[in-house]
Amino acid sequence: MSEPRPHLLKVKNLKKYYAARQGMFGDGSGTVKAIDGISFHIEQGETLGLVGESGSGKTTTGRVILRAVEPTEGQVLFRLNGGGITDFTALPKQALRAFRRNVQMIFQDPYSSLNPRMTVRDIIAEPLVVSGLAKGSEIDDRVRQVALRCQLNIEHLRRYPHAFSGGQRQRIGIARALVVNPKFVVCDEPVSALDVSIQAQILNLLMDAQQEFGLTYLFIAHDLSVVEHVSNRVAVMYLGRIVELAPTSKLFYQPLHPYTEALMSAIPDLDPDRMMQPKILEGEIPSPANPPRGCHFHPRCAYAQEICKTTVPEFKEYKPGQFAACHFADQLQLQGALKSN
Amino acid sequence: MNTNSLLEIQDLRVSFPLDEGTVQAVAGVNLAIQPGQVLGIVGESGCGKTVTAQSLLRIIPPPGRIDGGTILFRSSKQSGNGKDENIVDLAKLNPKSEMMRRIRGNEIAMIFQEPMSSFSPVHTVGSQIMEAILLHQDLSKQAARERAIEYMRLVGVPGAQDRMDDYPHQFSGGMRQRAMIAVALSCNPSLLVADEPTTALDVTIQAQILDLMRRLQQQFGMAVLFITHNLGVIAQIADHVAIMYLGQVVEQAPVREILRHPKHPYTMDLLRAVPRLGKTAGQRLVAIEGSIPSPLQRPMGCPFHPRCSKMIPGVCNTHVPQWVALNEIHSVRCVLYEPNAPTPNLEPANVRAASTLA
Ligand SMILES: Nc1ncnc2c1ncn2[C@@H]1O[C@H](COP(=O)(O)OP(=O)(O)O)[C@@H](O)[C@H]1O
Ligand SMILES: Nc1ncnc2c1ncn2[C@@H]1O[C@H](COP(=O)(O)OP(=O)(O)O)[C@@H](O)[C@H]1O
Ligand code: SF4
Ligand SMILES: [Mg+2]
Ligand SMILES: [Mg+2]
Repeated sequence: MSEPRPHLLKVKNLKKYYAARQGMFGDGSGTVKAIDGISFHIEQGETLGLVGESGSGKTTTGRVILRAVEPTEGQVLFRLNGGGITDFTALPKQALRAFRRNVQMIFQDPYSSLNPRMTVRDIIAEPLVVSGLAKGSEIDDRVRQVALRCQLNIEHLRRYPHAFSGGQRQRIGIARALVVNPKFVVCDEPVSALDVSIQAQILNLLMDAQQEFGLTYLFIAHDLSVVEHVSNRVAVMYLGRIVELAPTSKLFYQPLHPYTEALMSAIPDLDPDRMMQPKILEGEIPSPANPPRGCHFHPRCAYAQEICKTTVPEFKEYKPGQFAACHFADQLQLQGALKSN
Repeated sequence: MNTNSLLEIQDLRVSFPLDEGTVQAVAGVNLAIQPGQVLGIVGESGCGKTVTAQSLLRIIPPPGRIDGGTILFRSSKQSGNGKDENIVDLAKLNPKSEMMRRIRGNEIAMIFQEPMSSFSPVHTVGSQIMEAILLHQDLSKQAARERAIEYMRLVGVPGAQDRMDDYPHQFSGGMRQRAMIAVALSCNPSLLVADEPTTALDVTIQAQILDLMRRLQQQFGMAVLFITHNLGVIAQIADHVAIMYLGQVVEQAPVREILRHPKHPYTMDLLRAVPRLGKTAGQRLVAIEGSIPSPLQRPMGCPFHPRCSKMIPGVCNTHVPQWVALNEIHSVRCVLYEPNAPTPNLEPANVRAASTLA
């Protein structure tokens, strides 16, 4: 085990509620609790993976942390380079702009996340210009430097993004995020839309850049093999709440939450002799506008008891570094995706 | 055609003449499926998986056209004295012909990535399953309704009876996929073509659909052509696997053989490039360099040569590798396995061309 590292980010009881879009059948009343009171920290230089089915609140978590949308409640605290603590959620406008360069985002869809009317050079330069970090020829020097680092062809800086493949576009997106020398990057499904042979290139680039520039990542993905590959620790979300958070190998060998177990049982193994035996989850994912009472997971949980229907399980530490929100976390013997032998 | 095969595709070529140039979507595909077998087709986007599937059913969208090759299909018709079997070349049929329509509806069925597109939004799911049943089976309306409910149960739609009168948009993605499978099964096909049926689904739902398809495939004894880009999915569902790259099948073999003893450099590289649980954590992956070429600029020679770690200059960039059967179950398209591959033509022009493409 490595030394505990200082925390770069602390998220405290974060919530984001949306007014529900009126459902087609009039059942979408009230609010969508996209994220509903989540707390965690990320150590400096580590990658925290964030997984969960679609609609569980992963993207919203990333966006609220970067204040791309304002939280309904809760705090996001940063501590850069072991300096003072910045309450990012409370920063006034002026200070917010200056602080923003430290935190960047890489998006899922390399096809729609780049402005089609800007040249690649201008796309990469934009965060530099906006933050006022560089001027004149400094800008071009820095753009060239970061483009090269992301293995983009310098000749191509004058072109428009439509001329590029998905992998090249994702490199442009990464160059744009890295151009301001950020400390923290939210990677929202950065390889989900890419072909297998291109995925590996981008994962390598992200991991190399992390080493080289001491970056800290929140890495959102639904592919658990990818998450296991890149993450030091992993958080599992279900309907707006974190249900388990643990060091990667603990989570994959011995999960403590039934939902984690169900997710892992569904990973299609590359070994045909390890036939997937999916724990079939009962029913459908409920709407976040109308989540079940008690433990959100209880209607689909194979281990649910009476208490699960009424009482929200506390999110607490059961083993060193391993947190879970399940009434029976210390009693169940669950199967992970990996087995020790 | 092999005496056992249900389907055999030989040297199939399909192109789309566009204003910008001609796209060789399928550039010499060879593959075979035995009755009751699940053949997985894997390949990256644009390699021609969907167009290959569309060719079987003769539903290639315009301006696409079949330029050559054969698609031999063992068609069987129930007649008074048992089954009448005959071998049809689907590539030669008129897409609108009686025969093609009969095969499409009765013997080969297809399901897609987005089931919404194959359902009419203005009719209930139940009525659409009934319609499919009435097309193939001589039943009264009432009996067809009962049969439709049976199929909905079979594919695991909870509360099948009540959900008969729901519209497609009231179904979740996973449930729509189940309903589409019900429609496909209603004709009891000998071949089911499934084009990325789980790609749009969450992994938990994907696992359920794979589970369902595996059970139904055994129950109905049909062959399945299962298209996906996910190697894990292939490992879980397929008996045999065909790996495609830029419009060609570059390797076909039984699933264990291909995953454990891949022969084609592309297959080997692809298997090295994916993160593996418990094996690659924290390490760099062995990536395949470069990107997939534009279909308008197909490389000369072997289409994989600009990215291939085993490329032989003067051969791979000039000579199109032939489809070679290594044994009865394993075939590959790469000069490394070609008994009569040309010796390297190391004229400076060839070597230069190879290095600039790489
Ligand atoms: N701008 C918005 N307005 C209303 N609801 C939203 C908005 N953004 C997200 N949601 C809802 O919040 C929930 C979580 O969404 P999201 O964070 O995108 O999930 P994930 O990234 O895990 O798929 C979903 O139910 C989604 O529909
Ligand atoms: N309707 C069409 N018009 C023009 N080109 C097409 C059409 N359909 C497919 N193609 C081209 O044919 C090639 C193979 O496509 P496709 O079979 O859809 O690939 P895959 O399913 O493997 O992703 C691609 O280059 C694609 O651009
Ligand atoms: S609290 Fe109850 S319902 Fe929730 S995961 Fe644990 S056992 Fe299942
Ligand atoms: Mg998302
Ligand atoms: Mg396709």
